[in-house]
Amino acid sequence: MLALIVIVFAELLLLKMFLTVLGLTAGSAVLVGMLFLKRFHLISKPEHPKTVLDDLAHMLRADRHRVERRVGHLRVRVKGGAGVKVYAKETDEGTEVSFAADLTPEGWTIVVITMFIVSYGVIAFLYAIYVFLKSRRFAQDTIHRLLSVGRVRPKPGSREEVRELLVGSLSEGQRLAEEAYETQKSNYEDAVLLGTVLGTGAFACLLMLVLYELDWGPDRMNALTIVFPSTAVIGFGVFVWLVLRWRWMPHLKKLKGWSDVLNIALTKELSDGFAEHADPGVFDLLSEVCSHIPEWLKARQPGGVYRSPFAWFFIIFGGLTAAQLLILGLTATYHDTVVTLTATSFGAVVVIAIVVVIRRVRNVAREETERELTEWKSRFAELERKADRFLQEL
Amino acid sequence: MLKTRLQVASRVNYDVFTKYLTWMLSKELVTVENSPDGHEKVVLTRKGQDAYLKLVQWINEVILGASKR
Repeated sequence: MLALIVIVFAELLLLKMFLTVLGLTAGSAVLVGMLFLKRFHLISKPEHPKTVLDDLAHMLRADRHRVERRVGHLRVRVKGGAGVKVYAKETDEGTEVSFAADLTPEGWTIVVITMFIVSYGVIAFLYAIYVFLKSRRFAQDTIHRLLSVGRVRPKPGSREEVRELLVGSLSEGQRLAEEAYETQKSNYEDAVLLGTVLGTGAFACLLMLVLYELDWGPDRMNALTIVFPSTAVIGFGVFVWLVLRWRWMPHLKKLKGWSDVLNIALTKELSDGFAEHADPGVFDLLSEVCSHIPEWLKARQPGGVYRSPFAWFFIIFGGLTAAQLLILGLTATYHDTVVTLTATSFGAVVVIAIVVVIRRVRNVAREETERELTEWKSRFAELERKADRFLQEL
Repeated sequence: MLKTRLQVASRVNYDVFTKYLTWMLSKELVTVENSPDGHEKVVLTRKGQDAYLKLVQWINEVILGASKR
């Protein structure tokens, strides 16, 4: 009876500790969310919102920043995991430009992982504040300066107009290639981690079993019986790594190659005095880029945290919760059927919810990529029709 | 641009290059001038510049539209 009371009390204490951790982590998550959802006024402009965003995108690209144009806003990448979202809202006087701090995929990964692993989300919150301040400084210094100065539009039909168009295309092509490379590199690193750890772990277990059957247990430990299994396990891990590297490297090198080529072409196009020494191959390069964009759009389909940070937060949070509940259920098996049944049932429900969320996140990512590809094919077909018609009319 | 340099940059053999250059000359997109050092230079006409601008604009619309959501 006393033992039963001690066990139940210990479990309640464990539950209380768990709820405390849960509360701190959830609290940090809410604070982090608030930092990145709030919008701040930047500047008012007399032009139409689309013009303001188009001009700003162009000026940022010419300044060598990575810009993604989206409906109603821009997404700009700053360094150190930080980014900025710039919004343009139509008003009676023209446009109100505002910004919100943003995290890059790498930044989100850091936040989500530190949220659960280190100090109940305190590190995550401190990192989020650092990113927020960096984003705010970039918006208030660089973006505000560019919007205040405004874009000097080139004379229609001039070389400057052609140059601007080429810079825009090169910058966007380079961004797509680089994002494809970064996503695939992240997938490769995940595969290496998972493959070598799980593969080596499984091999080690199998080896231990075999050695046990062969009676190579602790009582027969010597240099040979330690060195051989250890070498075999490490060797297997290296083998798995080499196989994954052999499979992934050519693809990664190709993507990186394209990113570098476009970066060099962009640098040349932006350099002073280019007008007399412009690379005649830029248009040719862009024509070739068009044939690779569908592949880059597919490769950009992220499998990690970035697609939906809140979904992945739920997945990791839910996973830990389910693990806690299942452990609680298992430890109560021999003395409290009610606790066992309740804890295991809730744990199972959480696991089912996680599976549903994962499938939903993947389906959304796949549908979005398919939509992008369909739009791309339609736009490219329209370009070919226009070019054919144009050549016939010459 | 020097004719020989243009041929190298276009990455086609001389016969194919000549064929396309002849076509562009017939459509008044380019002219061929003699430079003081005796080499032939290929120069875009106003019509050729407008044609090039149009092609660059179209490709820009296609690439920049690739990630709009």
